[in-house]
Amino acid sequence: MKNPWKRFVLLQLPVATLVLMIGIQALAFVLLGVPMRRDRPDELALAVLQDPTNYRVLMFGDSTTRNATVRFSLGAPSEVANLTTNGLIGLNGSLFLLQRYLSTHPSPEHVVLALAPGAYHYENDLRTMRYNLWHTYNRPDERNFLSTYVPGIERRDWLPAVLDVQESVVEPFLSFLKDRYLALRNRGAARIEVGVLSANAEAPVELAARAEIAPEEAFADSRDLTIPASNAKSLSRLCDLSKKHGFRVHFVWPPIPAQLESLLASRGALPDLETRIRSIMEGGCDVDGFTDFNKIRPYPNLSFHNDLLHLFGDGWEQRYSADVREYLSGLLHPAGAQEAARSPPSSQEAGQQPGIQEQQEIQPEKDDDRAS
Amino acid sequence: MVFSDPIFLAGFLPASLLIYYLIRTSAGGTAAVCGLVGLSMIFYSYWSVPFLCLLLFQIGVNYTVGHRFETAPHRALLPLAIVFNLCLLGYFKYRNFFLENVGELLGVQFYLTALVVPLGISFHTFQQIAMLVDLKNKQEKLPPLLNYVLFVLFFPQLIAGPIVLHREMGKQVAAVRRGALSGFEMFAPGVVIFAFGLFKKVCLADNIAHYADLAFRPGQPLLMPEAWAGSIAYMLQLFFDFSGYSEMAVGLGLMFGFKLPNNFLVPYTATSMTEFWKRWHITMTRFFTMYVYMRLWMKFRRWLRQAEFFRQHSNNAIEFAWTVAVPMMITFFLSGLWHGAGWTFICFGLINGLGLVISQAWITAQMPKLPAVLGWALTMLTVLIGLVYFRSNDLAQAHYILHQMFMPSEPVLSAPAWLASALPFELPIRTFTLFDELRHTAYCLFWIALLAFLAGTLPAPAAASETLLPSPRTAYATAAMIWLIAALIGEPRTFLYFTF
Repeated sequence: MKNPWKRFVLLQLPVATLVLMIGIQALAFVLLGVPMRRDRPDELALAVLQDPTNYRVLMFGDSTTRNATVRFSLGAPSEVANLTTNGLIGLNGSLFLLQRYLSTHPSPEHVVLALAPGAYHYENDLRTMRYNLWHTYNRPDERNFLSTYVPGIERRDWLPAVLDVQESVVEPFLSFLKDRYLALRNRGAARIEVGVLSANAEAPVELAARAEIAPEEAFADSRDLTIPASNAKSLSRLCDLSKKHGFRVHFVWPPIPAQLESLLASRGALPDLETRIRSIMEGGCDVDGFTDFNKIRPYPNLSFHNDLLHLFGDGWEQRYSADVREYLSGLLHPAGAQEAARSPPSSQEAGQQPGIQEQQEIQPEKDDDRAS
Repeated sequence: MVFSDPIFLAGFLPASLLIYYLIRTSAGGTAAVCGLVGLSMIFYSYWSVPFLCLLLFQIGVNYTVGHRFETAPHRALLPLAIVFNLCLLGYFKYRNFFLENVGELLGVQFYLTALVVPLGISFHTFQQIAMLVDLKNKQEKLPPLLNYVLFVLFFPQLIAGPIVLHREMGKQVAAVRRGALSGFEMFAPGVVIFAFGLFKKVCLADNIAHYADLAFRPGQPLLMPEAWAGSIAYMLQLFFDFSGYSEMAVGLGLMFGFKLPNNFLVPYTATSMTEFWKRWHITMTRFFTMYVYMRLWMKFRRWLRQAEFFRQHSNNAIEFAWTVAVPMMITFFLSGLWHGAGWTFICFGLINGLGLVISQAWITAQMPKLPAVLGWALTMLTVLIGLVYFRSNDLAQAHYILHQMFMPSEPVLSAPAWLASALPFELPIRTFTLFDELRHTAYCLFWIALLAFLAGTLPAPAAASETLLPSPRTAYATAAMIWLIAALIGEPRTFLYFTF
């Protein structure tokens, strides 16, 4: 081929493409099986296996609880393991964390699930689940669970590594580097993070600076609270583990915007969800019931970020964290703690409680000024 | 169908190349041009058939006017044709903005339906106005209808430019019709440049878009570092998005054997506003310079020379004001308005115009040359402020973001949650959106640093495709880009300039 550009198109470019593909495939093969250490949920998946502390309470939850509580101490040292993650990890990921913990530790006394109502309904898309669960939870039982209840999750395993560079090469390589670095500094064993700050239940709060929203539109995603198969299976596995290991399961409803709460209450959606969860958990496992943190204090819409999921500002986060600490303390010290007696009622009981209705009707001021 | 859409990449592009070259080699140049016109119509009608009809109608009217220039010229013909084109543009793009503002003035509220703007109307309208002006001034000759239709419809440049002048395309189309055959010398660099543009869009612009989108969400509270990070992220996103698109257009043009003009020349290395606008959206700047600024400049200059008052009181300042500052501000006001129907776009134009006026005044007054670093910093700051307006949903949001950038009303001493929890003492903590986790902070800063570096160092191959060499290095770089694109391409994000 005399024409250099013809040679480029017909020879050089195809050869370069092939060489790169083979090279990256080889790299991916070498990195196969490296434990992922990309983010906090990945670290948590390793920490529950490696942390030597035997905790009395394991608390799971989504980012509403995680963002608010992660900085704060939720109990005396070695009492509470804060295993909250985020919605991308979901209920299935929480179950895997629990299974991993139980495989290397004695049973805790209590397991608390602080997931928002929507989390029981929500199923992430395949790519998200693959990214957050498939690569992190790669033990045979975890992979079997995911293959069974998330059909198609293993489909991208067949892709050449070059089309999945991020997940097959870049992230395993960075995880490998991090692993080596920590090992060199004798910090190889991952630990469960423990918050150190003390939360103030009366911390001054601020309200988000935005206009109020139309609840029907804003909460459209929260209308359906049915539980999909994979989440139902996670709950029933949780029940089996509770029977096998003898821990008590507690469900709590983290803060949700007051308008959403009243919307759910008016439709009876929350009690329905509680009934659904109870029916899945039937079968002799020790379930304590449902505790609603929105009954301890109301959370106006403006106490949330624009996403209406995460608490806005330090004040609200401190208040919620203080409530969680008090609640957990009630679980651990039921005899001595008066808090346990004051434990807030479940949504089903709430309807009969005087005063609850008044709390629900508290509406935030619709201006941009900060409230204290 | 956007250029980064898998349907385009795996379907339309290979099919249209195959069809075009088959026709060109078997049935000749004229048939190939007909085929290319047909393919361009399919490309546009994939989005909207009625708007394709509108575009064909506009082409028909403009061609008829061009024909009249040659057969029966009349003074009113050009103004009428320009008014016709601007009315089309105004009706589809500016009517709501106009009615909103008239309503505001009169205290009346109009019932306004949402606008559906024909894709690329700003680009092909300007292209045709430029053609008419050149015809009127005898700088161009009216081409055969088929050539003219391809000049406007040629799909690589139809939606978002570059704004091609007929003098750039006309001879090339005529050559193709005569049967001249471009071979691998154009096709192969076209592939490389197209891959480079697509890489910029899919792997760079789309990856930083998330941070810009977060910062510019309506009602999003921001702290000072977030406001800066979000604005810089958008500045980088826009460059890689639009320059990527322009390079894809140039690459596609070359693949079909046409050389389109380059649109970007490493603009974020400019050390003055004048230099910046010679490097940023070059074909649009050229259009406004040739068809708006120069004409205003001549008009004002003539007027200044003729007016008795100015002849008596003329001095450098007055001359500068009337021959540079006023025409430039008007040009940039129109340029801002061209980008979009909104006060934010007008402010974007005016800020850039003001920057240019100051830059020109500095040179005219023979002030000492600024150190390059200072000139660069001032230029980028002006561009950044302009782009905050450009991206904001309304003026209030732009002012809020600028306020948080320069005069934050909240304490600057804040820490993201992950950092605050690591500190043994308490800081006035507030949850950040961009920086809420170490990972997010690191990713955001990583993308900003990487793209800022690349914005200053990546070459502009579309500017000189003939300098590309068919070496193994080019082959490996292209192959790496192709694989990265294939790995990252998923749901394609629309190109930012499609809305204009």
